[in-house]
Amino acid sequence: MTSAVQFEKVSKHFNNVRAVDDVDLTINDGEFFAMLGPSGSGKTTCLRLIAGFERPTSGEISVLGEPVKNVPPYRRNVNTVFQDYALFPHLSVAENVSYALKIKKIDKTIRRTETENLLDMVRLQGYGDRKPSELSGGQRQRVALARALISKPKVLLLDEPLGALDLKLREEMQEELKSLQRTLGITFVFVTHDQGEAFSMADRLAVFNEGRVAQLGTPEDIYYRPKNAFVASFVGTSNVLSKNLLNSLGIEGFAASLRPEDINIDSENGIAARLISKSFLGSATRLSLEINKERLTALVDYAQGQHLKENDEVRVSWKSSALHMMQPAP
Amino acid sequence: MIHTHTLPDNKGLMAKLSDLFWRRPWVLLLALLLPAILWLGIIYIGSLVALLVQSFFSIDEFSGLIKYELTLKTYLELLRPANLDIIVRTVTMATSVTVAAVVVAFPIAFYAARYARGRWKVVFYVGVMLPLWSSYLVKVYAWKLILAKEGILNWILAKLHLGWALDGILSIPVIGGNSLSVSYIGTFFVFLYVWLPFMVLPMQAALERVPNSYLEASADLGAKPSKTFWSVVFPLALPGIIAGSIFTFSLTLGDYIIPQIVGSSRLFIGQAVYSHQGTAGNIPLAAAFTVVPIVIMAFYLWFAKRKGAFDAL
Repeated sequence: MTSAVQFEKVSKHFNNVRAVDDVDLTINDGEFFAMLGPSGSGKTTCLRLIAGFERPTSGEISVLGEPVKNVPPYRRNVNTVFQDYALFPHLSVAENVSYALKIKKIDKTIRRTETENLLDMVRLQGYGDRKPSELSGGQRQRVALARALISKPKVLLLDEPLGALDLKLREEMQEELKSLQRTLGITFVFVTHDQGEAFSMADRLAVFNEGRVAQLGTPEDIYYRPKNAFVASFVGTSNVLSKNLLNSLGIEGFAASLRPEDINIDSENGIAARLISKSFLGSATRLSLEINKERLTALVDYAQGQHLKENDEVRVSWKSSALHMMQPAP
Repeated sequence: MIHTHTLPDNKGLMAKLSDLFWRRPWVLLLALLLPAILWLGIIYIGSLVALLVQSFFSIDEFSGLIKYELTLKTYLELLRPANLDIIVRTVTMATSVTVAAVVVAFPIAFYAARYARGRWKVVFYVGVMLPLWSSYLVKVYAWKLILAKEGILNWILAKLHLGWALDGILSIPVIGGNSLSVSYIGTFFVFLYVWLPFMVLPMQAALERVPNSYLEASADLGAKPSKTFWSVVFPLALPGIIAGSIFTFSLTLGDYIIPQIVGSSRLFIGQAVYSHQGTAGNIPLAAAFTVVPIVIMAFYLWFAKRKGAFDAL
C-alpha cells in the first residue's frame, strides 16, 4: 500500500509557538483519515501544510510519494473544502464549480458537462445559475465539495466541513461524505474537533494535542484503548482514574481509563461511592459519582438508575478487563 | 385577584417619548429622516433642478439678457469647437487622473487591507487622511512651488544630473511646457495627489472584505497568483474601485482651482462654468456645461453596472 500523505519529523513554528511539533504521520492511499483534537492542537495547521498554505519550519511532507515542501499550492494534486466554504461570491454556482477547469483552459463544452456531472453528484441539479448567497448552508457545503472534486484530486482535504451545519444536516452529510469517499476511492483527510464525527466516518484517526500526535489508530483503538490520559479524557466521556485512586483500590499503575458504560451499580458488593447527581438521557441515565473525593461518570440503564436519589450511598463495580492502564501524556 | 403594579414607571417626557417610539417605530424614523429629506430634496436636488432648467434657456446675443423660452440652442453652443475642446480636455484629464489613481492606490490599499495590523493600520489611516486635513489651497500652491522652474524638484533633479530627463518630458508636445507648473503634466500630478485618498479609502474598504480563504481557495484550485488576482481579487475590489473612480473622476471634472493655479491656462469645464456664470453672465451656458459631467457620470455608472461591476456587492 502506498501512502497518500507522509509527514517526516514535520514542525511548524509561528514566532515562538510550536503549532506542529515533530510530527511523523502516514496517511494511507484511499483511506478516510480524521485529525481530531481541541482548537489550537495543530490539526488545522497540519491540513494547511498538506494543502501548501503553510510551509513547514522543518521536516518533509510527501504527497503520493513526492516531496512537496517547495511546491506551491497551485501545483499540488490535492484540493480543499474550506471551513467557511470560501465560495467566490461574484461567481455563480456553476462558475464556482468549474473554476479549476477554467484555470486549466479546458474546453467549454467539456467544462459544462463536467460541472453538471458534479452538481448531479452533490444533488444540486439546476442550481448552476444561482449565486452562493442564495443557497442554504448545506447547499453551499455541497458546492464547495463539488468545486474541490472537479479536478479529480487524489487527496481531498476537509477543514471542519460540517461545523456550520445543524445537527440533523450534519448527520446526513456524514453519511453522504462517507459513501462519496467509498465511491470515489480517493483519500479523504478530515479535520474535526468532534469525536463523534471522527468516529463515525474515519477508518483511522490521529488525536492531536499541543502540536503532537497523542495517538494514532482506528476509532476502536482510540475509544477502548486510549494510550494516555489526554486521549481518554478528550475522546468521549471516559473516566480517568488517578494514581491515588488506583492505589487506594489496591491497583498498581500510573493512571487508567474506564468507560462510563462499563461501571455497574451493585446493591451488595463493590466499592462505596456517593451519587452526586443524575441526568436522564432517554435510553440511559448518567450518574455522577464520587469515590475517595474523585469524580466518576457512569452510564446505566434507565431501569437501573430509576430508584437512585442524589446523595445516596451506592456500591459500584467493573470488570477488571474494563480498566485500561495508560502512560503519562506524551 | 388583586391587581398589583410591578412595572417601572414611565414618568417624564423622555420616557413617554420612548414608549411612543416603541409603539410607533415610524414616528422615530420620520423624526430622524425629515431634516435630511428636506435638505436633500429642497436645498440640494431643488437647486440642482433649477440649474438644469436654466440650461434650456438661452441668452439674447444683443442685449445679453436671458430669454426664458425652452430651447436646445445653448446645448448647440456646447458643440462649438472652442467649447468642445474644453470638454475633451477635461474628460481626458479626468480619465488619466482616475486611471493613474487606480494604479497608484491599489498597492497601498492592498497592503493596508491585507497586511497592515495594529500600529501600521493607524499609520496607514493617518498617512492617507493627513493631506485631507490641511487646506486644499495651501496644498495646490505648495505644489506650484515644488513644480516651478526655480522649484525644489528642478533643483533636486539638477543635483542628480537628471535635468535632461525632465527637459525631455517637458519637450513632449501638448502635455509638456516651459516648466512642470505650467504644463498639463503638472496639473495631472496635482490632481492625482489631491484626489488620491478618495481612491485609496473605498478600495481598501472593498479589499478588507475579501477573506484570505478566497485567495487560498483559488490557489488550491490551481490558479497562479496573477490568475487569482484577475479572477478573484480584482472583481471583488471592483465596486470599491468604481466608488473611488466616481470621486476622482467627478472631482476632476468639476474642479476649477487646480488648472487655474498649476497648468497651461487653457480652460477646463469648471473654469468655463465659473467664467460664464460670473463676469460673462451667461448662466444658461454655465448650466449646460454643468450638465456635461452629470451625463458623463450617469453613462459611466450605467456602463459599469452593465459590465457587472456591482455583482460582488
